[in-house]
Amino acid sequence: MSDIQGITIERDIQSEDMVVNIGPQHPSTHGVLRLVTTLNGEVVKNMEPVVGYLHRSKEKMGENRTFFQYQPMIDRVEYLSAFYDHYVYCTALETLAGLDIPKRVQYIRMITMELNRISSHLLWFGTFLLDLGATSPFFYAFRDREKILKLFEDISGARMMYNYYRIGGLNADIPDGWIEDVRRVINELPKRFAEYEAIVNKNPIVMDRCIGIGIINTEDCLKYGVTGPALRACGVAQDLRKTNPYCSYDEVDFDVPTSTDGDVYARYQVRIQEMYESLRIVHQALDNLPGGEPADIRKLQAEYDAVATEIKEAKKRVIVAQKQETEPEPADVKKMEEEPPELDKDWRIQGKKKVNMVSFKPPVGECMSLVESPRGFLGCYLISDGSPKALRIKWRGASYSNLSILPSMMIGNLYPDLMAVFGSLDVILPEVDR
Amino acid sequence: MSEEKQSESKEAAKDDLPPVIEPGVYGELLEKKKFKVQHLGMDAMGVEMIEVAAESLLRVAEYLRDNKKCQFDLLVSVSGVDMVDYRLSVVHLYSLSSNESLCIKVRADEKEAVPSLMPIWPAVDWHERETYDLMGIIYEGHPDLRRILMPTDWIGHPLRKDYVENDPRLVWNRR
Amino acid sequence: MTVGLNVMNPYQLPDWFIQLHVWVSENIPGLSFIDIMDPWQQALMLFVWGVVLFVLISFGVAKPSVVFMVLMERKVLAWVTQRKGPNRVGPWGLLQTIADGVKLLFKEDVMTPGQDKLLFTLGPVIFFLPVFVLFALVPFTGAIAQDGEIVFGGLLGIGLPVGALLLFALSSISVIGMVLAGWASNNKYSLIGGMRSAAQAISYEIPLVLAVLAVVLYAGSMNLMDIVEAQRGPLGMFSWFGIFLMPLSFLIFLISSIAEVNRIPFDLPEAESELVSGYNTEYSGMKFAMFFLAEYAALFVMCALTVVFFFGGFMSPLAGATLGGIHWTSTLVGTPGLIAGLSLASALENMLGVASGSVAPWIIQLEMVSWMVLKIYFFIFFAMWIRGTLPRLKPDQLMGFSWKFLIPLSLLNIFMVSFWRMWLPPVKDLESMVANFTQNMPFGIVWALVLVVGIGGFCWFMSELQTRKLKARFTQS
Repeated sequence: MSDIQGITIERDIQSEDMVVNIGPQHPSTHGVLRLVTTLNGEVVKNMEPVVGYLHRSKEKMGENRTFFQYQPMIDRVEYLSAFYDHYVYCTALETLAGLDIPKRVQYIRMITMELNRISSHLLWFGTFLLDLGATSPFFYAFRDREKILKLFEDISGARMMYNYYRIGGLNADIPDGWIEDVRRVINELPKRFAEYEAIVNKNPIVMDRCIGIGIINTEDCLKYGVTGPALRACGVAQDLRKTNPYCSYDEVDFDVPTSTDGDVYARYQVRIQEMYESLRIVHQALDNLPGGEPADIRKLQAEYDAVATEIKEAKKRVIVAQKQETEPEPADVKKMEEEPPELDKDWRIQGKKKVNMVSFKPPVGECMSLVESPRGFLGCYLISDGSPKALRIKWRGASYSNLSILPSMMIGNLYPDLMAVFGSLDVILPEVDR
Repeated sequence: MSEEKQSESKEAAKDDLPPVIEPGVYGELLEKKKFKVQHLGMDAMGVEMIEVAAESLLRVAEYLRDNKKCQFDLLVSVSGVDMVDYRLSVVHLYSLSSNESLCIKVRADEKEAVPSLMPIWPAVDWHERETYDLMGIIYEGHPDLRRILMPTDWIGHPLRKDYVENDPRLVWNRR
Repeated sequence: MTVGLNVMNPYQLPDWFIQLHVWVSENIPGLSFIDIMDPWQQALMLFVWGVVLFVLISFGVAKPSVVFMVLMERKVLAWVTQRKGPNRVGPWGLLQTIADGVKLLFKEDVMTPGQDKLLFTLGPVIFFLPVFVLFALVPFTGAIAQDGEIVFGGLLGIGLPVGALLLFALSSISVIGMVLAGWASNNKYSLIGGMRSAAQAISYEIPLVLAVLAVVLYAGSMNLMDIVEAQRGPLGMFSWFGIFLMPLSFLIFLISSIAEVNRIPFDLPEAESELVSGYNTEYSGMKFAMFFLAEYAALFVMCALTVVFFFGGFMSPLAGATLGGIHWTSTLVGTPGLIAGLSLASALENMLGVASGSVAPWIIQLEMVSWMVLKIYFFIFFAMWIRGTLPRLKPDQLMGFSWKFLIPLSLLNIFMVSFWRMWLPPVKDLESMVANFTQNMPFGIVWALVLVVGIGGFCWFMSELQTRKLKARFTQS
């Protein structure tokens, strides 16, 4: 305000910034995230994420339960790709205890994990476009996700909280006909993905809202510890499956899709391409699955069991003959010396060393196991003091670091961009809050 | 004072650990550069672990980030570990160029303080806040050390072994 | 022979209505002041008749339509997304909307402390009322004449000579309701939603009106009944404005009308993923139902106006055409016949050789209403289809699209329509149309070239600006 010759002139319209509390309950925060946002009109001036609304003290729970009791809890850490949680936890314990993992187990784990990556990306695809305002892709994506969840239900009995992996193996072998079901689904999915791409990729509104929005580069990613598709969309071909192969990923052939643009659209494209790559992995894993159909394994096992029984009975007869001090039949003596045939150790679903789940005690030591989850690095830092309970279990979720970059991406952008940018990061709040 | 402490802690650490530990690649490298490093061997996954004293942490970290042979540019996680007698701040690093991992352990002093790694890896921001929140390790030099997962008015640090559950001082536990 | 448009007075009262008044004035002592010859009382009677028609339209067409549209929207969206949609309440879920309505009626009317109670209540009312008044302006049927006299003026509440003007005046009022609701809610999402709705309505009303301006220019009248009648040409449905005459105008109107009724991709005021529910976040119960109903009613009206302005209103696709030796409508006033809208019935008469006008008027009215409703529902379906397909725009893109693209384009469109008007003035028979076409050929060719280059160049330029970075992107990856 200034006074010039008795006339009062208002220099500036009295305007205030508006603080909008986005969340904890909001349709597009995918859980209970609270973003304290300062808006100047529609432009974001400041943003402060407030997390912790979903904190369920998963790490403390790990210290109060035995390793086997804790296993059902870890599904809830990151519920959209729970197989990864289990894998990372079981791997940590197996490495500590020095257990050998049969190839069949590794391949089944690989198949389930990659299917889980597809189902997680499908859910992301649907909700991301729902955030942009398109309702139909959500239903399309869920329709296809449902088929994958059905496969998981067949093997584990649950649709989201699988609890299928065990320390040193699996809960059970895959059911009969499951391989055919998987083949049917993964042969069908590429057609669906092509449909999605047709409806979304070159949609002018989607392009307008995604291209050039939320640009980050590799330095930003390292500054905030961003990993996963967001890092790959900046041109870094960083994929733990490729760089530090775990499970049997070194035996399958796949590419790491990258993009150099680092914006929302690049992240979208990277994720879509990753689904195709996951399908490739599942195809190869199914083709090379040691043992193949479980029915074949059972048949072979029955034959081997029969031989083993024969040998046992021959042994008995020989012992009886020795007791009665008669001459044992030479055929029996010959048979007795035979080794009973054993199933190929790669075909088992439990390691050779049986693990007693209830009293499982890994040796003293510590282990940080890292996998490439659909969102980035998923780690489990486990310290054992030799007791049946862990000294410390730390979950390193990718969403936690990926979320921390959000404010720097949003400041200066429009409020509606928040939904595109936040959606493109694919943050799962239970993984953030644990 | 500090030297005495260091030697004490070293001795204590020597008592705890198995006697013979081969220095790993990065430990050897650091030792060559006259950094005081305690070798802890490999963890089960084959990741090298080293223990660094709090006062040399920042220089070691800077070296590990900038040196061409290390280039640990990605901070994976910071976790606090309660060893009952003392508390550890464990930093896991990853290198995008060599795909190697490294684990640095820092022992918190009796004031539960550890230097913050914010100047080296800004990515530790939320991780250090979380460790402070759940384990009570104070990161000196962190610009914004607040609780992140627990409510702001929470009492105690839940991941500590001596944490009292259902603390009667908390409003919602009063009856 | 052309139809004298001024003969079609939509106020024409039916005989029984006048006789009722005469009977009342003669037989009821207290009402003997009623005089059928008094011009003031005539005007009053016209008004009363208009209200009767309006109530008829409102309860006969508008409200059932809205109730049905809610269900239709859910069914169409379900169909788009390969679901079944509501199918539990009543046969095929037909009673679902009624069940929802009853639920909303019984809900608590929640008011939070910081709200401005008066404006909070007034918001939905201001939003609701103008939309339903708009129904009175839409001609659902045309007039019918028998023995040279108009026996029924058509199903039209208010037949003003400036109908188009009143229409836009009324439809702008709804925005005030939204802004009030957004402000009075004491909620930041609502406030942003209300502000967005104001900005959006102002931006998109301009191309909307400019598109209709072209129609008015060509038809030479702002009376909606006249505009429908002006689309009766020798080519049948190809004489409708939306098909060959001014498709550009139609497209601009279609886009702007979707923006006017706040539907995807222009549903920024209630953008669910950003603003929770925008201006109606805080509303519950019947007040929310008013918003909800008014939105659908607005969609219905906008689709009805699209039909009236561009798709021949209540006319059948053959109305006015000369086909197979049969002139598919009788256009003679003064002989027993029908002057409006009719095609099938009159064709039936022609073919059967019965005297014109022997089909009962109510059948003709029913036919016209059917054509109207059929066309309206086609456009409603189109809007729902778009909703199932497209994502939402951002506010800046929304404004840019209106101010930078639609408004210049609609100005160009007015030039184009004026050219059509000079080259091909509206005529009722094929011969004069052909004559006009050939006589003005050189003029037409020059104009056509200028316009094709102008509009084509403009569209190319705009799309180039818009997609240059996108194209670069796709060649890159």
